[in-house]
Amino acid sequence: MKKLKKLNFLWHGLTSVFAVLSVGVFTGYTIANNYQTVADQLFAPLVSSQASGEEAKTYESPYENTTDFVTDRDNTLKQIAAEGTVLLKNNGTLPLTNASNITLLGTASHYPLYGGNIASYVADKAEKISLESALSNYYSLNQTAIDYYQSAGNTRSASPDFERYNTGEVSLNSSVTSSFSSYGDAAICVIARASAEEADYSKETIVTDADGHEGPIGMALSVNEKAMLDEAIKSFNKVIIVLNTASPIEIDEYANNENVDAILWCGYPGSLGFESVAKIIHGDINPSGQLSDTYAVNAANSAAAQNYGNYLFSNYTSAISPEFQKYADAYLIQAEGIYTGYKYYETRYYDSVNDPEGTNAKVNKGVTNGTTWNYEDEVTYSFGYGLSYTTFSEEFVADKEGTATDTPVLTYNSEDKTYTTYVKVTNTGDVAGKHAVQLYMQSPYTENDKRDGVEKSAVLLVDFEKTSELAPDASEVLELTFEGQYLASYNSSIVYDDLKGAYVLDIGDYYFALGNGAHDALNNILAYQGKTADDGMDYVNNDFQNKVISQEIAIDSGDGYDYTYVNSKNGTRVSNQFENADYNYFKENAVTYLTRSDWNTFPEEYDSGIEITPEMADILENKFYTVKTGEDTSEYQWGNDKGIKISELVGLDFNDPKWKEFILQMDFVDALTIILKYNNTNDLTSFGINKWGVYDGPIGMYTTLGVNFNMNEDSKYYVEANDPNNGYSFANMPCAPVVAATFNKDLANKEGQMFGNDSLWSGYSTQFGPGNNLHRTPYGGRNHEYYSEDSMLANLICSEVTSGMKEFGNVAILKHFAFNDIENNRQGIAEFLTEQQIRENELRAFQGPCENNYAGGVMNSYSRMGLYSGAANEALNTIVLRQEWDFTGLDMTDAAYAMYQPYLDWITSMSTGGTSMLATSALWRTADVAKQISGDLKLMERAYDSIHYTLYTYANSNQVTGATFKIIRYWPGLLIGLGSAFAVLAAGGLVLTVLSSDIGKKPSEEEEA
Amino acid sequence: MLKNYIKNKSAGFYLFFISYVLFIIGFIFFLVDGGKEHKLTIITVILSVLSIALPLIVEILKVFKIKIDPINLTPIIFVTLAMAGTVMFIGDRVDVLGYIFTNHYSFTEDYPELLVTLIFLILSIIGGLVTNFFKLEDSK
Repeated sequence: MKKLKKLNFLWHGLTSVFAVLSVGVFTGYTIANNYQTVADQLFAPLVSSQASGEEAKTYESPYENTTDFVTDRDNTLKQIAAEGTVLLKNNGTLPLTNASNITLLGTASHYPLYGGNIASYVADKAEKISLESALSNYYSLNQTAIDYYQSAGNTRSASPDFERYNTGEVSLNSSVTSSFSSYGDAAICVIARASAEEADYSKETIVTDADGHEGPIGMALSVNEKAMLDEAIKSFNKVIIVLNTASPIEIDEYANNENVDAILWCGYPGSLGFESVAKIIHGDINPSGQLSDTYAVNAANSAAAQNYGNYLFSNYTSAISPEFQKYADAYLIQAEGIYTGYKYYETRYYDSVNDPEGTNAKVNKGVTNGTTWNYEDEVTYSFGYGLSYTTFSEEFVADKEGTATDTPVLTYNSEDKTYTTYVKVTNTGDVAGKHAVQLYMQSPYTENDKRDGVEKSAVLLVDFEKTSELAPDASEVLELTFEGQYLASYNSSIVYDDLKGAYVLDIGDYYFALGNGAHDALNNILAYQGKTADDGMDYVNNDFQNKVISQEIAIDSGDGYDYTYVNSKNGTRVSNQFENADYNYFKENAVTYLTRSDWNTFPEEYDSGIEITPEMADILENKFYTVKTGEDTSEYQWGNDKGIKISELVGLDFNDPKWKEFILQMDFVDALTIILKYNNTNDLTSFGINKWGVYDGPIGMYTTLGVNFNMNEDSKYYVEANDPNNGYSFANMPCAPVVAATFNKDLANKEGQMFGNDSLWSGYSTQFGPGNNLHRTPYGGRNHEYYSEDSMLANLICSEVTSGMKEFGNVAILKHFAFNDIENNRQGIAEFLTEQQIRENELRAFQGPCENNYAGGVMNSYSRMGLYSGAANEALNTIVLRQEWDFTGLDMTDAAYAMYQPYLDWITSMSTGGTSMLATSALWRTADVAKQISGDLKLMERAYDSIHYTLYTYANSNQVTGATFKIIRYWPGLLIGLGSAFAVLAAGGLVLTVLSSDIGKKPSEEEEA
Repeated sequence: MLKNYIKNKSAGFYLFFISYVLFIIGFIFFLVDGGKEHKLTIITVILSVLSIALPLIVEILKVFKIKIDPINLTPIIFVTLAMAGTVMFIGDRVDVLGYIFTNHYSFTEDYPELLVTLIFLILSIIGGLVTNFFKLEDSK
């Protein structure tokens, strides 16, 4: 006992340690429970027992082993990079066959960009081929330059920055320049620009070199980049520039420099894509890519760029909290209307040729040089432009057999409202190659349009197809079939059938033209219309007659309109839904939108003085839905378990009554978890529903082949630990603009198939991607994740990718529905737009993959269309997505870190048509939510619908027919056990502390005193 | 009275005092941070207030010769409550800590109060634990 007492201080101390540990662990357990999804991701191994029987056949990978799969996947990656690389300039220097000793210049030549930053980041684990290593297969490279860049290090900013961006380009020193003579056959100069989530370039960006040079030069070249190019021009007879950037940068000075021999754009070509770039340089591959964006001389002079920045409402103070303020105080007025990208440049060009005085097209606004607007001063390379090592002729022909005709036409198929035409392509050069046929359209810009405020782009891409590889003199006839609905313009003023707004065809001449890009096609139309260089055309193609069809496709209903397309494909009358997305809806005539009828309306910058009214503030603060109480929701009798498993629902129609029987079996509180917690299906296992495997990844899921979730050794997807492809990273494909630049639907579909196979081989059924917003300006930090500035290119490419994914049961969740046009302030920014712009630009991009139900879901944009966020927008999520497009997939929020994003909440999302919150915490407790919904019929209906859409998607994915995927959650038991053990030890320590204490001992005299 | 009060205090007492003061400072920053982020969970506040109040009450009663803690469990209870309060405080900020650790926000630039709060609270707990290995008063 005496010894025990001697150690009193030890028992005392140990008691405190164990008590603290016990309390810490138990409290931590409570918190981890609240963040179950995150905790599972971090601590819970995922296992799947992938099916090996008949059920696995519904979606089955055609590959018998990982090597076959990985080989085809890598070949697809390289093929996309090969066909997506665009040759922009070539004086015959490329292919570089007569060279052996070359110098690679530019920091990016040594530190290339394979992908974007954050969600489209090429995985660190992915095997990579750099341009350096790929070129070293063909040439002897200047090692002095390589060593110099290696020693200088990579100082390039990882992300764009509104305030400052470092290109990382270092000054060349004399040791490098003196090495040129030994490697002087050619210089290949690489320029790169990073792209990233949560970051943008600004038109006022200060570009800072590694050497500290600065200049307000936005997307322009930095001082050191120019110095590097100038040095190359001075020192080498052959100079080739490679643009390793997702967004177009300003390269006009060097495009026009006769000493620059060739320019290649390769975007971010993925982990292995530089191999294809090197093969193009060497001539093993003939380039066939076409630009997916316009290369402007000065990006800041586009109509859209006038309003691109950090703009805050002048009078908004959040009544909710200062924290809420930052999710509601920013705005962006898109005064350019429909005129983004080539629609702006080409339409203004057309008007400057066709009617310069009447339209004021040459007015001194948006002008780069001098005081008059000229196309050649504004555009370096047009959308759709691209060169080859060979030449092709293309002409409309009468039929699939290639019968020549002087009067080609588009054939209308009234059954499915499509048009078809045929184009014969002949390789007229002496090198084999592929060629993309691009079909553009011009619709009449009528007096009705001017009266109604309808805008028309002078040229619009409607379809494209690509040939197979054609040998010299070989020909191929391509069939181009496209949907007529995309020829119609949205008129938001017209009243038809008592509803305001409709898609209509104007009566007049429609022109369909071929061309090497939008500008070339427009020039063919202009020439066909009788215009010449004397009118201001920059060039006239000799063979334009064979490349234009003029056809009256609209039938007058008596008022100058054809109403064929007033209904969507499912018969829903399309009418105005987004009037309140226009700032003028709240403050009349406050914003002047650009109209081609008078180019003096070129947008001003709305950078100050934009106020909100109390009515607007209420919408910004989500005060537009109040949960009802006491309504009769008895139609929904939950918990009526009939023993139906989800496997019985596979393949059933969405409207089959069995769905209701199945869904209402569930306990309502359990069912709500799939809405409120990131598609969490853990609580529904008794209905045959397993953990839902989801991964982020527009360029491939951010996971690897052979992670330890496939535990069924009988499954063909079981990957042995010693498999040579164990650990293969899926996040490695080229970025979206490169995929678009292939102008190859089959190849895009093949990429989707590869994603689908990723899904089967990994057990993750759902992929956050691809992204499908438009490139409103080159400044967008997220441009690498989206296909193009053009809605039809995005529509058709994305349709193919998602269709390929669906073929293998992979659920494609499209980012970011809709109008994520700027990353800065993206969380809650109010973007003001016209209804025509909304429908013809970005929504048109999403329409194809959604209307055909190729995509399995959409992820809402953080931004607002007008005042309603993507996750709280009834017009977007219910009217357009469900009613007009008949979409049956998910409609989920982006990541909702709820307490820091108070504008994202389940009430506004559910009440407006969202299916699920991508919530990482249990901020919304299902039992509480169930209680609230139980008295509100609308919310009950929406909750039911959300569960229906979600489980329908699940049932038709490879999740239910392929892998049974579940989570092994050890951490709760481990934490409880650990906490209990510490508690027992603390209790023991306390007993010893008491026993060894002086308790009961008579106090000393001093203590008494 | 004060002289009498401190005359037989040992190193453990002064260590405990330092830990106690550190926790109070941490708690003040916690209130500032909580005020900024509108995140003052009542249970966290109660736990923290209790951990501050309990030693104070015990010591004040001692001055009045009322000894309610004959075996000096106060430092154990203090550090246990402090731990619970601190973990709850962290639990209320998991989202933002996630943002910080994924480099979306910076501790020093965006959440300096949070950083300072955590430093004080953690130092206080460490001090409190060490305290319990020492006697608070010299035995005669």
